[in-house]
Amino acid sequence: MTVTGRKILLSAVALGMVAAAPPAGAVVFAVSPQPGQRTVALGSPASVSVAWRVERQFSAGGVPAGDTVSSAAGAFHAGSATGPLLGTVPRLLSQTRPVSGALTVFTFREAVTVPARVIHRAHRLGFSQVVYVRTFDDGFGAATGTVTLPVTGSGGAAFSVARVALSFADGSVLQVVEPGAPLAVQARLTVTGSGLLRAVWEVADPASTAGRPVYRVVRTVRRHLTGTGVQALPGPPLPTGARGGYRVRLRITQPRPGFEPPELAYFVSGGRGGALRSLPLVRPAPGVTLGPETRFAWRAVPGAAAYRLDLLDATRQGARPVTGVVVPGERSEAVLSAATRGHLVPGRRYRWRVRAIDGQGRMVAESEIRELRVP
Amino acid sequence: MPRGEARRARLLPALVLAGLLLGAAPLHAQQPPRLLPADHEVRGPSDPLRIRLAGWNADTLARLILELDDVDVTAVLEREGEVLVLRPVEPLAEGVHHLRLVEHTPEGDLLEHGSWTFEIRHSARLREAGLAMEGSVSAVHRLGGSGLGTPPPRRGRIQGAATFDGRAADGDWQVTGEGEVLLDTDPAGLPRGGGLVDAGEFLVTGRRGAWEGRAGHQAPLPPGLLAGDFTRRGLSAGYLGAGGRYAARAFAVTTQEVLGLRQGLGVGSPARRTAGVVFEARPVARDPEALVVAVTLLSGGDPGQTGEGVGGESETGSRGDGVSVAADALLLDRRLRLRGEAAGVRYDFDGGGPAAAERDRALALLAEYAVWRGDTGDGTAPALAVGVEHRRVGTFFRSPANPEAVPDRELLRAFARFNRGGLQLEAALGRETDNVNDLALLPRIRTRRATLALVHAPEPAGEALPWYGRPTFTLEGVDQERRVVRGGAGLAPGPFSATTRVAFSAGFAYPSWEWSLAHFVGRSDDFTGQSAATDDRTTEAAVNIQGEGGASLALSFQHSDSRDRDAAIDDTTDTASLELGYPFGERLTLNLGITLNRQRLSDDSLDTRTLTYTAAAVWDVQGAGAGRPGVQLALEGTRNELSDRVDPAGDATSNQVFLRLTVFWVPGE
Repeated sequence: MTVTGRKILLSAVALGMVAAAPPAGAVVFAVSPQPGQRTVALGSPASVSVAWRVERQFSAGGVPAGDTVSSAAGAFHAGSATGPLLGTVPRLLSQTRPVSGALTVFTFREAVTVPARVIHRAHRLGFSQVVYVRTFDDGFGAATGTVTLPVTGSGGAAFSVARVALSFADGSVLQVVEPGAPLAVQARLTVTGSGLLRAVWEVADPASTAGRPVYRVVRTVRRHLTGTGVQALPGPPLPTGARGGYRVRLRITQPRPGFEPPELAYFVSGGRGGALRSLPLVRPAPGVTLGPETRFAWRAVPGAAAYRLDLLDATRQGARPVTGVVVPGERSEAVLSAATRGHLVPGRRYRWRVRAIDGQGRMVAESEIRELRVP
Repeated sequence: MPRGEARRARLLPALVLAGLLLGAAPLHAQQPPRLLPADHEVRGPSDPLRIRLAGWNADTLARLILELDDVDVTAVLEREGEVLVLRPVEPLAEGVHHLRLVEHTPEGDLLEHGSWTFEIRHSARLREAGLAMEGSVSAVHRLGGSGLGTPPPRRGRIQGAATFDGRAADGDWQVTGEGEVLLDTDPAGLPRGGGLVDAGEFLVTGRRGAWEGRAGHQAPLPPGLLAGDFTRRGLSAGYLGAGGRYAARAFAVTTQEVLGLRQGLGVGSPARRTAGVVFEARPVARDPEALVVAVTLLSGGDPGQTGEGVGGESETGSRGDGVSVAADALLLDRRLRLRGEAAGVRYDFDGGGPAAAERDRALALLAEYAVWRGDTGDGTAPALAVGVEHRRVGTFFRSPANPEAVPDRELLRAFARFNRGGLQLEAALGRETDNVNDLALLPRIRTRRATLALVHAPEPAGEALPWYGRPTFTLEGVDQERRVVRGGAGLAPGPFSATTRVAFSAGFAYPSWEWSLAHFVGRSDDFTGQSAATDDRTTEAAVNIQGEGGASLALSFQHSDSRDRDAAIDDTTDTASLELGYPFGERLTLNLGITLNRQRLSDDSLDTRTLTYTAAAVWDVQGAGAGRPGVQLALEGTRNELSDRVDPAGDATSNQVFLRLTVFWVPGE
């Protein structure tokens, strides 16, 4: 080897040593989840919100370190972190922060759905708890954190929302309505435990859905939910003034669910160019029990030659009206006759609405749908 | 006098008297009502219906009720001498219709005087035939925008939606169909996420005699222990016998909510469908609603994917079978209602995995008695019903047709409902326990819950509306307490949690505007340390004005304060919204909207504000009519401002302005 060649080789080795020299010494050495324990119910899925606090310690001349701390997946084990494997959560958690200072704290937030089959399998193996395990690694060192999930009955589970199902008032999941038609949305939440629900109803209008949907808050929900089971949450009246596609969703912020907020689409289409109007109802209020002198009242609509009050069976979607009343346009209220009441089954729930009809027999306005109960 | 003449002379007065009586009878006796024939050979949808009531006195006429297809149309009847005339306020649909004339007697009974069936035919060949479509198509072009992300959405787009409604019928058969069709040049805007055209919900129904078949979105199961709100896509076939008193239906539907042109009718894969049969009987002929008995059998698989509009993971690959028997009876002159249902299931949580399937049972019993029915007729008598409910659902009780249900509950509840005039009151007291199967590894929690709901909607004393309008007041309260009565899973016997909630609202309605106020307070305590102890107060106010000529204004405000007592952190949220609409002439309308939402935490870890502006100028080029589509041109835009005072790097502003041309059409007239 020539002198020049030796010099080049030595320079390359020196450069390599410089490049390979560890920038500092650091290692992931502590993982602490918050909360460390949450009860889950046997027979039902659960949603657990976890904040993983990961500490990375710096020490010069120590173990080599990486700027990125990550966890590839979480795992459910029965009884302890080393117990039988019940399932995995293949979700990557990763953050990159350059090594600096003595201690760096990473916070990873995760909402995990614990499937009912995982809880059931642990119970059948004779274990009283499930353990959720994550290992965080910077490429040179790792540490493990665990969240303990004791298994209880349905009444002892921590407050969580396991499932949300959105639908429109008639039970459908897609609506095509005329401009100005009344439209309402509702949510059915499967809940364990009790506590304060924080959520927002949001709508994206056609002025944004044709491009990048922009959701605006139409109602904030703050409600203490009691009772394990299905909780009905009525939504706000939805805008239907402009033609086009809309999207509506319920975004729950607490308890943080382990899934994306569900959403529904509806379209405002057809119509006569604004001829169909909303018909405001005055009484009775939603959900009342039909009484002997219950009067159905609404606000008069210009151009109405008659009004038709329809009563529909609330347990049957899309059915024709069971019964109803037609009154002339100069009246804005109606009372059910004995014959009309005879078509209603005691103890059953009914939906009702009012429609305005013009002199040519066309519907020109329609009210929202409300429910009542027959004693 | 000859003998024959003498005999005629003796009979003559009797004959004259008989003739007078017979001749006078039609003038004073009430004749059976008679539906007069149509003016034309085929009765048209808007043709008046005439019923002759010869010899009826005014008192009886005043007590008459006429029903058209079970709808009371008495208020729109006219009288032309002895003839009652009903001019349908809407064109009657093609098909068979029913008229019924009853009298509400002074004793409170309903006396049927007549019942008729008539047809409105489409043509001599078909009784019913028709296809109607209503919808619109929009071409949208983004004129400008900012802050829309990278890459920005496409500039041009075509969107459309339409509903169709068709039917054909004659004799004893009928076919009906209804559905929704969607069009979007952006595949992400369609339910199936691809293509140009997609379907929404649809249902095709065919009937012949007592047989019926359905294809599309339907609810084949009655709600109960095995099925919740279960509307799915699929197939069903049914038989309705003995005047509707006996019914049987077989079905196969998707287990998940499905939309769009995918998965067909969702019945091909056992892992994705729920199938079964339902038998229903009303054995009491004189009163079919006196007793209803139903038997349900089903079997289903859950693919583990969430359906349309659903969040939350379903059980991947689970399977379940179930059977249920239910009876619902109305006794003692319909005062007493008794309902019972028993169900059993076999459910495999991991669908053939290592864990064995579980068998479990559930029972639901209800008794309700109407103490007072308020049916004296003068409108002042109160109505009171009391009842008791018992429900026991096993720890492993699950059904593929009821994915939202939570098992493991035993409930005993007493309730009462009262109403008089505009006052309605409902109260309930219940006790619930879990660990129904008494599993040794599980603790037991006992829950006590009390609820109260009050609605007061007083009637105005006179014809004129008082200064405060038509008011409606509501008051609701819930108080719940949970205790650990048997320890386990790290829980020791003692208090577990306590929750209290009270809500009050008042609304006042006037002819052209209304306003409302509401206030909610709640408190929640967790004695196990799993959840924070919280207090919450929310106040809402809203005003809605509909002006003459189409102008409108809607204003709402909501303020919410939640306090985490453990961490001593307050969470405050304010939401305000203003929407204005104003017409300029007959063709131009301007709409403006502003929405403000602000949320902040008292520890300064969160302080965000979102301001959204929307505006639209809409020009009705022409309205839709017979054989002519409507055309509308709109200039619309949105501006969204997100401000994060804790992390200004999160601030974002976006703007979008669109020009939209819409063509729309309505069903032919």
